[in-house]
Amino acid sequence: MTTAFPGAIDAFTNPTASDPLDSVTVPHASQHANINDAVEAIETAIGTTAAPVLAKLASPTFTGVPAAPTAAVATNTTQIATTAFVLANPSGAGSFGFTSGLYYMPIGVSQSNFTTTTEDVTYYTPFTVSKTNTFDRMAIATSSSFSGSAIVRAGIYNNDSATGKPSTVLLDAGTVSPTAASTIYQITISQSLSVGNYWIAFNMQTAAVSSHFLGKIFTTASALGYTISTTGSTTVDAGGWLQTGVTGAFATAGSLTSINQGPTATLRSA
Amino acid sequence: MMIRITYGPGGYDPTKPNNNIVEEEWLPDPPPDPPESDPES
Repeated sequence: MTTAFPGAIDAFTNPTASDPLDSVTVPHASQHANINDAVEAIETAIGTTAAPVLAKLASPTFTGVPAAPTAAVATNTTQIATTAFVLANPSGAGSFGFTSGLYYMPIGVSQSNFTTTTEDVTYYTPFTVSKTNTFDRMAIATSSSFSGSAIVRAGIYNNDSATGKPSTVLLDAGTVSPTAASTIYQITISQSLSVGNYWIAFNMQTAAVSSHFLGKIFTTASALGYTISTTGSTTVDAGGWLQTGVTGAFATAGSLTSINQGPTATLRSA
Repeated sequence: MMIRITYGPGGYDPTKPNNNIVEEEWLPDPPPDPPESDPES
């Protein structure tokens, strides 16, 4: 006898006290056969016979295209990793890694005297992390011609992979108050960065008499892996961004203008 | 020699002792950088 299970639930006719043992309606043998078929179908489904339709709890072997929910980026538990998770979390296995205590900065030619004089401007410089790492300091430096008193806010922005621009705030490290030339000012942080691209944010919250800082120039190299022109000529006039009218705490990046250099911060590996 | 000033978490905070500066260190001078240029010109 065939059964409807597992495609559907079989509907068996239960014998009643008034039915004879071998009734015409549901002969006794038929009752046994139905139950036997149902048991066999269940055994098939749970895998005690060939061609199971349910996966075993212990060491299952899936067929077809099994799917699962994708864990959040940087999840580090026993949760199953889907292909989407793997692509979103490159291992950085080929990276050089980071050395504790060293400071890492955006790729580019060092600019020893970025003469930033405009208040409320945020400068974004690209920074690539090749292996997940925790950083414990964010440092800026005044140049030898700095004078006066300034307030600088430093932070890290996420990258919008669709546009190659800074997007949302990952870290607002706070501010430093530079008052001397040739001095490093750093903020204690504890920030883990997964493999990926980020933007170092340097905001001139209050400009000094001579707001001169160290920075990076992207005319020959940048973390982007290429130099950029906004006109089609080979003159590099982009690679970083600036945003005007930024006051107070960092917020999602707004209207941005291309720049080919800017003051920046370094990140110390924890 | 140059000085490295370290702020605690959160950075500059005038409500905290020493404006939240937790350390000041003297460091040897770094190597010279390429010639300077004015990016705003």
